[in-house]
Amino acid sequence: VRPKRASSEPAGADQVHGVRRWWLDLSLRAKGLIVVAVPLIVLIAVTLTNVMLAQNENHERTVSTRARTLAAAASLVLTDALNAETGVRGYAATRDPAFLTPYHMALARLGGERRSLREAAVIDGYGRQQRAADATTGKVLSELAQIRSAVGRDVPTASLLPGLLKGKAAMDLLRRRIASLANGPAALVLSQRKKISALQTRIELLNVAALVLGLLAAVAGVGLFTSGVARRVTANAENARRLGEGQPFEPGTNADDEIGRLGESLDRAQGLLSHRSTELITARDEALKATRAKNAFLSSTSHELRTPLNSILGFTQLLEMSELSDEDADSVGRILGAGRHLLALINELIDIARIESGDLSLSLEPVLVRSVIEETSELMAPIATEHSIRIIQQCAHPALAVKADRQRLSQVLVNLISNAVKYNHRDGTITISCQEEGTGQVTIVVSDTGPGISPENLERIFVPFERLGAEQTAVEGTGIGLPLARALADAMHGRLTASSVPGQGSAFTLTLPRAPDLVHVPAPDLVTAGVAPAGPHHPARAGVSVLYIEDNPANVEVVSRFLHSKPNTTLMTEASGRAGIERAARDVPDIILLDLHLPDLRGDQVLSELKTEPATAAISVVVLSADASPGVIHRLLASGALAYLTKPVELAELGELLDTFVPLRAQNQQPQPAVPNRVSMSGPGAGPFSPGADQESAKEAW
Amino acid sequence: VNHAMLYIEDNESNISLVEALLKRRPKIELHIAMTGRDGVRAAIDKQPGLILLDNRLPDATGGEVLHELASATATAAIPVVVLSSDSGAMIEELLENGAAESIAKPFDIHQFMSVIDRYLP
Repeated sequence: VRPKRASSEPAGADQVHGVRRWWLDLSLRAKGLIVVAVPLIVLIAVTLTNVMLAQNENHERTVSTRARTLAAAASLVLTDALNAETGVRGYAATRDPAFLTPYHMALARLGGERRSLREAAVIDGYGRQQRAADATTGKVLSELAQIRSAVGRDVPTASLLPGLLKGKAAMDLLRRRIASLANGPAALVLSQRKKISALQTRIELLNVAALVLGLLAAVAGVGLFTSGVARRVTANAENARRLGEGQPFEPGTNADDEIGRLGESLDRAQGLLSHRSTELITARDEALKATRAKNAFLSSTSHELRTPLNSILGFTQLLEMSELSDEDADSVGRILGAGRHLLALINELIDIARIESGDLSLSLEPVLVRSVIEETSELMAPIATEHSIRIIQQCAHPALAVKADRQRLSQVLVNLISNAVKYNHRDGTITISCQEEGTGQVTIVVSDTGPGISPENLERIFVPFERLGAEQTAVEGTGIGLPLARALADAMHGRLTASSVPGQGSAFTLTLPRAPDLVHVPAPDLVTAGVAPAGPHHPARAGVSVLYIEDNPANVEVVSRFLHSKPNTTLMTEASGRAGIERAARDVPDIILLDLHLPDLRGDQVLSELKTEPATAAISVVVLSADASPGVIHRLLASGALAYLTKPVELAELGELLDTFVPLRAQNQQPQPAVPNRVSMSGPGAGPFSPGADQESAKEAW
Repeated sequence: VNHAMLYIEDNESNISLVEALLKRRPKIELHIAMTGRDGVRAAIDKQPGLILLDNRLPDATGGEVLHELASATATAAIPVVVLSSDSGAMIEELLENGAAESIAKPFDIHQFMSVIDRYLP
């Protein structure tokens, strides 16, 4: 018993009974055979009928032939009987024996002719007549023989008369008998001819009918069969398509043939698929729930951890600033180091949690690869030097750029370099290289000369807290630097992989999408570019001073180089919002170019602070952003921004803006001495607790 | 010149730290409130030049306190700096709700002092 179709199928989809049911449940092979058999059976029946009719016709023809033969034989007998009579009469009348010649010839032939007649009279009902006719023939011949012998004996003619009369009477009888023998078959022949012709007509009709019927049956059978099969196969194909797209099935007719079983299989596949997808959705929901719970836990835990850390770090910093013995200063330094390490760990954990929950906001824009490598190398140089490790930069391409978040890219590189320092031999080297890939991607490789990683551990290093062999060594680290670096690379649509030759070192390859080349300006030029061309020749020059608040040096370089080509324009730059606000208050530029994505403050905060501060309220602010929404732009313009420019900055647009810009100072007729400008770029991670934070200069501020 | 500062914070240790830091700014008169309710009342009473607000208080969130301060005419104009150890999204929300700026905890004392100096020079 075949399994019934899925019970989920709508009721009423299968209300098929009787012949149709029987037909549907037949196997395709049986259906095909039936379809071919119908015209075949018609053909065979027609052929058989044809054969039967032909036999019938044959029989009728034989009957007809025999009838004709009988008539012919009968007339021959009569003819020669007449010949014999004529001869005898002539002899009787003339007594001339010459008249007997036909009589003798007729006698000679009559023997055979009477035999022929006997043989021809095999048709039913003519045997008796033939025998009667034959007897009459014998009688006629005996009468003729008596007349002839009487003439030979010279009997007077008058006495021959009775014999002649008797002969005539016998002859008349023979004439009648032969006529009935000959006429009967003639009628038979006529009727046979009619029968044959009718049969022939019937055969022709049958042939035509057979042709038409056979053709019609074949065409109809094949047509119905193929259209039925095609319709059901199409329905199954449609359901297969729906299966592929995860849509519900069209209800179909079930059947026990091959197509029906195909439909059943599709039904089962759909059932299985929907079951699986339900399971998957449940599993995904659970996983999402677990991830959310984990992130919430991490977030609240990090908050709880940071609160006491605030006191630890705060008081320790206070202690550090007081007069301490060398030993105590060392202790305080260690507490601060450990506290900052703990903070770094917490921050990295939060970063990972944010990336996983999709909360990490990235500002993806073209970043000059070489400058990031230079900066991070510089930042890490002190730590590397501490371990007698040399950092070699091999990034020849000056304008190569990637699409990335500059701070996060620096964070990844700092993590990789820090890792390369930790897992390296003394006097080892770290090589940082960049390479342009043909596929629109750029790779940055950080390789070390450390002990390397065995192949089975190459993926484990990207799992949080899997610090290989850290138990045995005194290597410091959070254990999530590499996992975070990988998560950041993924978040920037890139990837981070590791390879290693144990004993020789490891290489970490960061792949990021390529951005169009950025114009690279060598550092010395940059400084010159910023120097105001204020000379004795232009004492009353109404130059335009520009403050560019931007953390991405690549963007700064582009704008700087562009402004270099414009006389009477001076540029100062700051890499953070706070520094920018302070600089603006101190140096009061004519115009401020403000990036919306800054490491410390949001662009709109910077703008509102500039606009509320009396010293800076009058300065025109042009906002630059790669991805501001129309709402944000509207709000910025409403809160006092002069213009909004998209990033990457269209230099022509910027030039136009600066050309049409009339400095406030010029309006006030109060030319001020040109400000000695300096292009200052704060490195990434120059936040409060980064290793590069300049504590000394801060101390002086107290 | 108004050199009063109100610090709304429930953590003793953090209070001690800020007290220790402000010893270096003798001009600044520091008021402490340990709940949101007390904080709002103190803000109205003392009319400080700057309010430091912890984001997690026993009786209210930073956002709720911000809302209270902003809706009372006596306090609406006082700048509020939020001290928070929470994630970026929450800080964004606080800034949207009227906080002048935020300082992440644990804070660098130099950064902390520069913020104080800016508001209470």
